[in-house]
Amino acid sequence: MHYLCRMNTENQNAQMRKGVLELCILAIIAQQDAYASDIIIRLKEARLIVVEGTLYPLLTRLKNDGLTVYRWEESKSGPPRKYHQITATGMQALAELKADWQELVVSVDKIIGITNNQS
Amino acid sequence: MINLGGIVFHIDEDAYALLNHYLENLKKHFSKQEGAQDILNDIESRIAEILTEKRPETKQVITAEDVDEVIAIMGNPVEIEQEENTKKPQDAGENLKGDKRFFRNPDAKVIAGVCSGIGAWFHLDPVWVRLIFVLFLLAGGSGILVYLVLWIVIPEAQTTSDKLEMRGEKVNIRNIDRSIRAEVSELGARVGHMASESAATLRRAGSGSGVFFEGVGKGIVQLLSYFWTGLVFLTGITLALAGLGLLLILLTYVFGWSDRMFWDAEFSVLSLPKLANLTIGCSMPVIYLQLVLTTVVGIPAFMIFYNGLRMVFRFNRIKHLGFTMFNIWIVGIFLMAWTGMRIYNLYKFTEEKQIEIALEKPGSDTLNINLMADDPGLKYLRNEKLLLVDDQKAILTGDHEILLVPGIRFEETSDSLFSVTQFTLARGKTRMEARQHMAAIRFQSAAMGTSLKLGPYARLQKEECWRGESVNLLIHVPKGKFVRFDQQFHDLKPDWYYMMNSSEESIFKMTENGVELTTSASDSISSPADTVK
Repeated sequence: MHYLCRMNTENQNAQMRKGVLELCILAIIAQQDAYASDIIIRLKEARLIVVEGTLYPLLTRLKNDGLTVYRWEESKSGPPRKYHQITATGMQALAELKADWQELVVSVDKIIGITNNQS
Repeated sequence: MINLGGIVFHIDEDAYALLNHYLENLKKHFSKQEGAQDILNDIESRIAEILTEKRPETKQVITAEDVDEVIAIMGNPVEIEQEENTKKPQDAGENLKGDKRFFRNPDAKVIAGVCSGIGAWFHLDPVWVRLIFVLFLLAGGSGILVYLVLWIVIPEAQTTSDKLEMRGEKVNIRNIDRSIRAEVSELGARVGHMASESAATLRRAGSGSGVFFEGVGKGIVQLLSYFWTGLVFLTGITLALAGLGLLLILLTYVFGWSDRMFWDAEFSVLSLPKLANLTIGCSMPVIYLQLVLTTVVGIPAFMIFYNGLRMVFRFNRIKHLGFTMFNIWIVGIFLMAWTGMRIYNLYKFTEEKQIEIALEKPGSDTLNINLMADDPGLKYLRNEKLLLVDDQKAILTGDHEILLVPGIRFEETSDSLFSVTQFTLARGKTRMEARQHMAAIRFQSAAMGTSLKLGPYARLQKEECWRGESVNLLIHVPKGKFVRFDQQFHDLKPDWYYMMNSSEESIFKMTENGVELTTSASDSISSPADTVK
């Protein structure tokens, strides 16, 4: 029973993180043109992803949706790097997502009653 | 040596195998997504980068441990799937629907893993499934066909996630219910919404029955979902069985599997190869017709079967299957038109011959029809089976000789004399050929006294195909006169020749309404006396 419960909360946690991944990636790229490793480091610091393979499909999708573009840059060590850059559409989408996130945080806090203190 | 993202690495054999396997798995995993190649290229570049960081000097060899580390960093497909959120809405819906999918199990296979796949689906030891297949195999070999069809239809579990899905959860009512619930959720939401709206109205009216109505609304949704579950499942089973049945019947007919089984039945349905060999087989390969029928009828039957199976087992659509089948079907249609033209051409020209059989005593009151005593056709009496080829009655002997049963017609004549006309007909590719076919027909007839002697059958050349040959006799009977079939005709099957009664001999009288069977013997005796003048 205990094991099952743990599995479930873990799953929920993963689900929640999934939802915000795109927002975070977009935000990182918006701050500064970035290549995959930069983004991975930031996301890993924030413990939003565990394995790097997750990132590439998301980057490809952002590009396909026209929210980002990329350019190639030579690297001193290793293969050339893809630098991702946000587009005007991307900025717009980011602003909307941010607003949505704020709203969500406020609504959820209101219900679960978290104040400034930690839970 | 391996080339990753434009950089060459020295790599040992184990590591190479491991890395290759990993990349293959990723490829399969991402193949369903848009921009799969981009994603894979990015991942390869990243792997190259990690490896360069680890082994700055290019001479150093990459080992399996290095690759393991890379995989740990990048994540295997299952981990990636757990983390990513790239599925399209409908994909996510499918995930909700099916906790498991039908796959062939390549890890525990004897032939193609069909049985172990079924075993995984039903949580059975594959041994039992194999046993059932072997039993079907012994019972007429139908197991082979079913196995082959399942082999084609069911995809192989290739990736780890496929294999996990293959095992999935136990199939029970709750799971089926849950999977269907997702499908009706939209419908359910709408009904529920309506119910709660009406409930609100009632509550406003100050009645406690609103709660009741809400309950009823939910109950209806529940019922609908059960109903829908059953309906989809039943429709699937029905379609699958109907498609399979149709396929089996078609293949049995087209490839003549039935010949041994049903040849002894009272009415014999000629299988396609038999029929074709008797007709067009002399001029074109039967395989054309078999191909045409298999594609034009078989493909729709197969698709019915396949879609039925999908409704029952909810496995994913096989890529391009429908498209491919449709294209083959179109090709089949063209082949059918072409074959049709060829067959039409075989029978294009008709040649006909009329001969008058001169009777010795055409003025008598009764024309006696007897069997020719020494006709070779007398060997084949009632043991042979009657075939109907294009309205022409015929029998097929054990030596594959086609014997035509002559058709006999009566017509009234205002004349006072009997007359008999024999019509012989044959077809062919050219007028010349039609004439040759006609000339080859051998049918004996002779007139002696008041009787007309007929051979029981018209014969074609041995081993010859039927090319529209027919022999018909038109007998003109003066009004009030009689035709008597000899009792010998009862040694043959009487209704082959004319609608005779079961008595020893059959006498017909030409009346105002055409010929009529005179039932009693006294009739036949007294009648000729009456007509004597």
